[in-house]
Amino acid sequence: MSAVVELAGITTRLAGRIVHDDVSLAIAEGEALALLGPSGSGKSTLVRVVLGLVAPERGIVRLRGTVVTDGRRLATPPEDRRLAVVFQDLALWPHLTVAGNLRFVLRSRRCDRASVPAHIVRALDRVGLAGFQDRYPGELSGGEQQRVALARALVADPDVVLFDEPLANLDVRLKRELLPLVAELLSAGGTSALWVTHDPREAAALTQRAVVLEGGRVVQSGRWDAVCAEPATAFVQAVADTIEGR
Amino acid sequence: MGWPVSLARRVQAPATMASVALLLVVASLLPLVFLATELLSASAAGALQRTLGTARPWWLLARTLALAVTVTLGALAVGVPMGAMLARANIAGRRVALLLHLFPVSLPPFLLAFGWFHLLGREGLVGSPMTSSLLFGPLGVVGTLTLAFAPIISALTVLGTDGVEPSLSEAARTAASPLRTLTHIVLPLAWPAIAFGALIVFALSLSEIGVPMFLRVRTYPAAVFARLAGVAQAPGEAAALVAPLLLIGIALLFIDRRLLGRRSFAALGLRSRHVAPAGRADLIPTALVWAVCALTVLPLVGLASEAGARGLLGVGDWIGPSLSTSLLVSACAASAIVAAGLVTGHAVARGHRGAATLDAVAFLTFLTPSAALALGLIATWNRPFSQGIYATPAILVVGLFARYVVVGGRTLGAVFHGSPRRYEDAAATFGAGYLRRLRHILVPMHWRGLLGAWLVAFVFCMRDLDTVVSFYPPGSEPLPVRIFTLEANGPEHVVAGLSLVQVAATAAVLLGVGLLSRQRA
Repeated sequence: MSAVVELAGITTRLAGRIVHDDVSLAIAEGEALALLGPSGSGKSTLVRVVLGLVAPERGIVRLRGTVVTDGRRLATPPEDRRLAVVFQDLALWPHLTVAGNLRFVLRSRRCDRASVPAHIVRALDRVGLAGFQDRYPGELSGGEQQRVALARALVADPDVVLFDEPLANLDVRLKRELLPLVAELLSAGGTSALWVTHDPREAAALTQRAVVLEGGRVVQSGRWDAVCAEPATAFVQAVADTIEGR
Repeated sequence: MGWPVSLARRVQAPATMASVALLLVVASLLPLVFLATELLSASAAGALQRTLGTARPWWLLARTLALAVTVTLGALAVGVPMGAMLARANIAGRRVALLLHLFPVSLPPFLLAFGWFHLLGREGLVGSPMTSSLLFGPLGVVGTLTLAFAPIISALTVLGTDGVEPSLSEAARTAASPLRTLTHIVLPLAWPAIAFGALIVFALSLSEIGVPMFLRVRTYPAAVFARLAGVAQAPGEAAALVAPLLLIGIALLFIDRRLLGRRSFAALGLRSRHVAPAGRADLIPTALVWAVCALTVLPLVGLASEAGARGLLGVGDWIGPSLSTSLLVSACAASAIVAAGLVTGHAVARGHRGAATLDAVAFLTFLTPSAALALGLIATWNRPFSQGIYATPAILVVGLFARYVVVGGRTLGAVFHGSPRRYEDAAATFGAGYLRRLRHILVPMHWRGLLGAWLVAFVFCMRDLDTVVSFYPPGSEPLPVRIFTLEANGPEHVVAGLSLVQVAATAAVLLGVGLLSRQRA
């Protein structure tokens, strides 16, 4: 399978501190990859590197084989990378309605003006929010906001969706409700995804492979069964124990 | 044994608030109330009818309002893109550019008009009869004030956009260009800060006396000043003329409450979340930013060229005690403003009862054109029993406190607004009363914010001409007044030299406090 996203030798330094040290990984077409690691391991910054919001010191980011970041040089700006993101705080634009949030993405992606309403209706239908177009994010519950963020990420049919711990702030009930929805949305659209989390069970439920980041380095990567069978560090051991319910 | 202590603790907050409220009423509200009462009295009816019964003052007022609106629009046109670029583009030398761009705000605008005169006047460095005739007219006033006040909008745009949660714009950047992200996401979220800046610029433009008088453009506040302290003295007429200004102040306060309310505090969260953009410096924005910076500081080149060594050497003979008066009075007023602002700002940020009213009183005296406030201060303090204040530099402190007290409250309100409440709650849980929390939690935690608020208040006081020019005691004029009065008949190179002293003194204080803040950090 060809790689949709490929990171090669990424080294990032922020405020004098090395955040990533020679990180490489790849996401195949239609694959959901989990990125795990303890707090401060550089997971969220890596998402920003892929998005083009942070320039690494060294290393290459390729999207569908095209170099989009080459060291400090951002060859392709974030808006032209055909990526979508769901941040932990969701980042729904508070001054725009639900439809406005989706419309902004569609129009920015040069979607034909006449077809925008249909896209919005379809996207909201998919996440179970039909009829919520005119609500503002502040008028929605946590779960509804989460669904809007998902709809916004998927509405313009991106190549890859990057999820930066989107369920971290939700209670167990909401997580249980949303996980199948996310899994269904990703598999239905065949969308590639990078799922950043520190919750191993959530990651194992949604993804096929895992990459574990510790101290800015990739300490292990592979299919879940392989990772759990031979954990390389104490953190990975803890991950395996959690998944296996030990 | 426990109850007296707990009672004392319980009254600390209301007692402190009441003391500050009393101070605000005496210094800020009383002058406006006295003035309004005087205007409503039967004896004033004749003067009101005589003065305002003709079309002339109303035309002048309309023209002044149009001038202020034009300056505000001009400042928005320059300041918003400038602030947006400084906040969001990758500008080479961003910090230096920001400081350079903001510095002229700390100077009296008429100093910048002097500078432009020495550049564009008939005998200026690059002047001609045409540039001179453009400068000495409404276009010159609008241009000078636009460039003088645009940095206020720039600064508030930077603060407003820096205050926008980075993930909101990052989410937009995955789909939209930087420009589209800025115009559709960031600026709409930052609008309360920008609108607040526009209100400040409008109020300052409307109050401005120095620039229009120097550039020979008749404006309403200048007409009031001429009747109050100038050649056409007629105090009764002056009092009648300020009636519409009082109403304008109230109207501006109404706009602030309806449009902004507490949002201006939220927007001014002072917690910069500035994230340096990725990649190399953006060439075009960098060039534009530096070009505007050069334009805003260009008048200082004009002043320096006019002053030369001769002007600076002559300063000693003309300056008198005006510099020390300026520094002392501004420092005292700024300290009082910060002390009051500590209480009102905290109360507003925490939503305490009565806090919004105190803030409104403070903001009203800022929004009311200074000619009206000055007249009110004279009516309040020029009495036999209060000569101990009115005939001494203390009246300058009172006047500056009245005009700029809102600066302390708003700045510190923004500081406290951005600070989690849990630290104070924890202290209260462990038994700390209001004053103890102020002293041991708020002040040490926010000392940089306090220093910043003091500096902003100091700068406003130090640059003031419009408020104090009408009532400064003989022999105690601050430096801006000294320069302004000398402009009419003093040697030009000495006036330019004195202007440079004002520039240097302001820069020295800014630098000193900046270094102090850095050292203590």
